[in-house]
Amino acid sequence: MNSRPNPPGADPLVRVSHLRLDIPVRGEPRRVLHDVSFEVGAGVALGLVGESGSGKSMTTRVLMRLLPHGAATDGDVLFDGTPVTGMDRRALRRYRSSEVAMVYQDPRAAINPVYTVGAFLTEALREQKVSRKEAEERAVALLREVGITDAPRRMRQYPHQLSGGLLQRVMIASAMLTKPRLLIADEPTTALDVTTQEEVMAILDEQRRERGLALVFITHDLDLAAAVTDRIAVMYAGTVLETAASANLHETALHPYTVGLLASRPSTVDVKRLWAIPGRPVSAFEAGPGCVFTERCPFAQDRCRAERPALRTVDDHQVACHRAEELRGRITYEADGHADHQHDEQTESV
Amino acid sequence: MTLTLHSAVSRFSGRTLWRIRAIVRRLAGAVLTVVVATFAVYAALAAAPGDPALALAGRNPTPERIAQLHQELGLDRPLVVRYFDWLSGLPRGDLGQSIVYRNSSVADLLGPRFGTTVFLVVYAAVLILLLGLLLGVLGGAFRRLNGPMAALTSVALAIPGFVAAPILVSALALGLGWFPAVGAGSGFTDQLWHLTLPALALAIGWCAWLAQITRTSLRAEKASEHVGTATGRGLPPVTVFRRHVLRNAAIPISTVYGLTVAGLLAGAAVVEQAFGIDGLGTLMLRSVSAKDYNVVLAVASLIIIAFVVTTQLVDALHTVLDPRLRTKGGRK
Amino acid sequence: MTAVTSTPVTASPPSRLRRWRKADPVLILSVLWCALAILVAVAAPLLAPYDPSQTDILAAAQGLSAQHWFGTDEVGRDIFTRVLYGARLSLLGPVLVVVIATAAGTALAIAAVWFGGWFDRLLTRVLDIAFAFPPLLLAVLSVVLFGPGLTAPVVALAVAYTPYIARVVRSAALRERHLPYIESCTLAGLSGPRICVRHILPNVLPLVRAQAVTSLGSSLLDLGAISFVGLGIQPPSAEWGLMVADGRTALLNGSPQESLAAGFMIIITVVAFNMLGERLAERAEVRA
Repeated sequence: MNSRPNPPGADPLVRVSHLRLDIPVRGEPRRVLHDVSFEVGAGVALGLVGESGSGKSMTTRVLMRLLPHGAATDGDVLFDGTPVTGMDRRALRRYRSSEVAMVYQDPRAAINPVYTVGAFLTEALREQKVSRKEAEERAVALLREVGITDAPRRMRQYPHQLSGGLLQRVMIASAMLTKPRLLIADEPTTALDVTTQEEVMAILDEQRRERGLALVFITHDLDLAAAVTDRIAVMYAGTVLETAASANLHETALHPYTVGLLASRPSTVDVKRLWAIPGRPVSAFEAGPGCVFTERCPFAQDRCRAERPALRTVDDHQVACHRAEELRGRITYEADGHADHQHDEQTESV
Repeated sequence: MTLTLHSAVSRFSGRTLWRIRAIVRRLAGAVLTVVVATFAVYAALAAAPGDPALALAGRNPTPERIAQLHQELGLDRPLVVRYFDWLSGLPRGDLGQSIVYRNSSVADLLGPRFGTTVFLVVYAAVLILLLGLLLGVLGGAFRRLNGPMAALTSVALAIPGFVAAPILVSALALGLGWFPAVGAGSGFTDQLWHLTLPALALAIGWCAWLAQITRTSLRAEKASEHVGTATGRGLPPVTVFRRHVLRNAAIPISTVYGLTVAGLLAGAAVVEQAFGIDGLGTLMLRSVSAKDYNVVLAVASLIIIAFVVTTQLVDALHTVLDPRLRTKGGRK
Repeated sequence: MTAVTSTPVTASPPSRLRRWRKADPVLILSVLWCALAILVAVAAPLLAPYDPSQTDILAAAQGLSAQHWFGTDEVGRDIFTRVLYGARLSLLGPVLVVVIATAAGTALAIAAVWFGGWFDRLLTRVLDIAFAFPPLLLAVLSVVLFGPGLTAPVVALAVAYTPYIARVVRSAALRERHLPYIESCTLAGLSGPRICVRHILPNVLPLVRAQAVTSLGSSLLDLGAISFVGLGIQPPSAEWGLMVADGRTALLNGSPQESLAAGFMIIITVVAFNMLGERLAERAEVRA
């Protein structure tokens, strides 16, 4: 697939720029997203990677416009040049029903338990005045495509009679059914048994590539994201800190957080390398005026605490770090907890 | 081919067998509940102080007369035997003799009042369903109405039938003169007219309860993830509400409605008393003071049986509404 | 890392402050009303303008006036006085019911959860049967056994409410029982009763408290109904449910003040109890 970012000038399928989101928590607006910017070209897969609470799921909810009452957004969310936040009811319904589809994290919660699998699959088509017979035929065909062998029997069963893996395949089939252009997958395998995770991921990837769908893939697993996407956007505390091509992110990561995230992956080869970024992840609403990562960043300087860095182009990355050029290639984390502090002093004395 | 056919048959019969077994177990539980509960009533009434024979024997009875009366009333036999005697009379409609009205059977006393009370209870049940659902759905479907409906139901929940009665009577019967203040009426329309205020008084608190449960379960269901899925698929809001919110909330709503109806017969006694209606409830209350315990026993058993039957019906309805309860290994 | 933290993360102090600043008016009113009702019940002789049983045929069935704020009843007793005095029996009954039912229900539930097995199954079965008895029916049986008065309805309602409280507490205690810390208590050699009282009970207590306050409201309603139909407190005592019944003749003659005054006292008090119970339940939920 096309792994380069879209050529400048051409409209990407999805363009999110400077997205801000506030959600009411007990009557008080709470900042969930600070500054989220990314693009997804037609047929391109983007991985949104970050720890839990970093705002990646909320970003997809904005893309779907599935927000709780009282949520306030700022910035642009464009689909094919049309602002999603400005769509009227009819346009929104058309957009949801035929342009975009979503695969949720927990299929057991995302599929209504009181209807059969068949009813779930055909519901959206029936709403579009497709005849029952045709809708069912298409549903069965899709179930077969996602690897469900006894499709007609499964159509008559209820969600609780299917395993999580099967149910997620049903979910994938339902997402494909209305032939969308954009697929959103929100940690589609985390709720599943480890044994079925890989299968489901492979089916999702295969279906997407066959149909040439654009994909926004949410995960906390950098390696998984690198395997199935073209570009990766790293999120932290409601902000995109870095985007880069998936293929070489490992080698060329610029942001201290991205590097830390890469270093803290468990390694099967070298047990001693298991390492965690010090401190706890902050939520978007707790962040100070400076860079959201300062509190945990061993390279933070006064400027980082005072001024929030904007996302800018460095090499072929987009990175939000004041010291990106300066630190390029010099950030290393070590298993020893004190190493980063010494490192801090070293770099500050440069 | 034969192999798959065979496994299909065995699977089918296995499921049917499981279902039959579940039904039998449930019915057995219901019968056991009725038997234990009515025996408790029987025992309590038998343990009541005072000897009914003394009351019947007139002044200065001889011990022989008392013993004779004991035998006539069956009081000389053990409690359990007497209870099963009484129980075996039930299928024949034999509820025993009234002790106060010596020449009428308990069934004779119950008969004419049964209709009035059932009318009242059914009327109230219909009102509860209509008003409770209406208020609950309004509050649950429209965000703006949630607060006002919550306040309204909180107050209505605290209005018992016997307090609603004087309020309704002084406002709608004596004040505006729309409805009669007392009595049950005769004939369908007259009864409907007479029993409107009693049914309202009986319904009001339960109505508020149903409205509250409806509202909160609709709101909970609306916030559930599968409703997000349905909305995210571009289904129209009305379809989402009907197929995914209302349909799923029907499960808790039907539970509460069933419990409401099950308790209505007992609540009716208070309202009958408040409106001077000669029904089963007032008959029971009068019989308590008159120590006519066979009548008390009969009405009490009726209340218990109505409760158990209604809850069983609700359980059955649940298996229709919730597919997870229909198959073995499903959620309990 | 701590040295460079420029913006301290403060979460709890301001939110607590905020909670106090925009305190819930409904909650405040409920608490005030409950306090007022208790005060009235205790200090009725000091507050009431008349003797509650003093009849005055010449001043019978009067409307509202400066002398008689809520008017007088059929035999000329001051209704306002009787409403104040009525708070005593009207509140005493529910308190007794709730204390007994809460103690019994909680003890049974925790015992059932602790012992499990046949004891738990038996209790569940008995509770199922007990649910088939509406409170009024239990009151009828209780009156048959003990005669009318305060005792019979209180006993009946205590029996009627125990299963409800036991069921709620049982499920909460069951959750608690299976938390890992209970097992570590067992391993540490603590005795069963000690674990139940020192560890399980405190954790289900917020829920018990919420349930108890809500039950105060419903037992006030049920006791009122029992008095109303003549099975409870007997005349000439002043009790709200009884007063609603006493006022019926006057009501039909066009002076509803006795029934309505007592009736509204019941409604307002029950609303206050319910609101209080609701808020306590919300807090118990937040904790759990």
